[in-house]
Amino acid sequence: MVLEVESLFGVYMLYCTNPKFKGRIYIGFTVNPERRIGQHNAGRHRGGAKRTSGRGPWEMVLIIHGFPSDIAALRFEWAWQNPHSSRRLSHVTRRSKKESSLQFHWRVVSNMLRVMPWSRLPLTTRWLKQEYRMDFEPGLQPPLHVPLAFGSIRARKQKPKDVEEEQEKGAAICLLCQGTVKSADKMTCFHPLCHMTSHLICLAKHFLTGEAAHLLPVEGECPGCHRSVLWGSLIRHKKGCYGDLEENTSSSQNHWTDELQI
Amino acid sequence: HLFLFRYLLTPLSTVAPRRKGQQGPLVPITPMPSYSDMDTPDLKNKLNRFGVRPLPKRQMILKLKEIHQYTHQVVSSESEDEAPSLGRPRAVGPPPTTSMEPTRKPVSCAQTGGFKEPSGRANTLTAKFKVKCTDIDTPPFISPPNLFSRSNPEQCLSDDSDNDDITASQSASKLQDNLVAVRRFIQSDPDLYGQILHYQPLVLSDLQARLKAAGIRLGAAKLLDYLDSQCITFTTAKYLLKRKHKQKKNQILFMN
Repeated sequence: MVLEVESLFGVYMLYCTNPKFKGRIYIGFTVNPERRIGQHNAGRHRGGAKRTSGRGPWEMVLIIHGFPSDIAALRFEWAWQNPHSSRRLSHVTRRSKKESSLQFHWRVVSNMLRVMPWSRLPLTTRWLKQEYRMDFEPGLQPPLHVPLAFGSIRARKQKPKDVEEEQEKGAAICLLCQGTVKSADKMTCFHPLCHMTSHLICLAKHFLTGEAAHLLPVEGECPGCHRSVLWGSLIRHKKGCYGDLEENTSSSQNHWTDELQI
Repeated sequence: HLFLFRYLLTPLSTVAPRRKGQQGPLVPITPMPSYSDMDTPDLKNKLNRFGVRPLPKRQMILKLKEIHQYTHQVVSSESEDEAPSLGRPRAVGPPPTTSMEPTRKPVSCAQTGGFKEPSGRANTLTAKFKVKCTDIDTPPFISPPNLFSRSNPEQCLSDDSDNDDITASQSASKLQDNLVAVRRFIQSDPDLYGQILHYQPLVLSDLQARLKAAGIRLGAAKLLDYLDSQCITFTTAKYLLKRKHKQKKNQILFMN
């Protein structure tokens, strides 16, 4: 069961299965995980990184995806590779003697998902190989809207936007302010039966009620169907991405805090 | 940040409010240590207990004084309903040991750094913790400056002031004003705000120039911190140009 996603920007972790290299880890960026792992294992003359060339075989065990741009993903990649140089991760201690490289890198990424600028991005933590899977430590749970997923992922080409769809039946009306909406600002809900239309900014303001000091919403209730949706999913839908739009908002997640007693 | 928690449990005390016509000894507040006379290593150690990094000596003294004032506030029953300034929780000590009625009432905690930050969302997680904090005997939890300011991008408890003439809290509120000004600037420009809402990276130099033109004075480091707290990705014009060329090149190669 492979999840197919358009406009994929991912930061992945490779694990070396060669006993000679003792569980070495590599962190990298890709827009196409299946192609990338092939390149790594084929060596640097076939597009693989110099650092991994001839030091395999490598397995891609974990990928963080959902970055809205390559720049956001590259910044994450750098911080994960250099946690002790990153301003945002000064609280992350160095690898202890009892910690394997895998455990250390998992701890670093667990910390990263909890701090800005990454804690409000519509990210997913995906273990590609079940055998390596680790859970988040109790004190290092990710933000509620960031799901833990399992299974493979594949990059899919984006279908060119249908021009007819763009010029839909006359002007659309914003459900929130009743003004007319131009297609550049038009936000719609991706749930099949929901006909919600609104201005980009009207909807953002609606999602940000209660968070007046923030500019970028994380999630909110669709004013049309009242389902909880991620802002990131709405933007992907607007861009023409149809993969990975499923609800994975805080309200639909089981979280360890659900067990807490007051 | 449990060390901060434990530290606050010790010498916290309140001055009980004077009742009408009642004379009598007030419970004294722990006097402020003479920070101005302390050596730099001592100041560093004291600050370290609050999770604050070493600063120039003058700033360390100011910071410690600020912390002392903040943690030794006078609480009266009227002040219960005051909104905390800058959203900080009020410091409340244990009930005074005199025979006077304790006037301390439960204080609700603001978002705390020790718990997982729910990124400012008013969902069930925050609600659960809020209820927990209104227990009458729960000691106050004051989160260290860095963590607290992350949940609210405009919260700035302290600032490294370059200016001799203004105190740390004055420069903090100036900074906060600037950050609010940046946000309003962005919100007033639908194209710029639209870019951010689409998660598109902003060119840093452009933004700096526009802010300057609008009369908003914010240093590059503070601006970067603010953009991070708002989850705004930034880039350079050079990088975008490079990327555009590469994409064009790939297109051409692909076509051939």
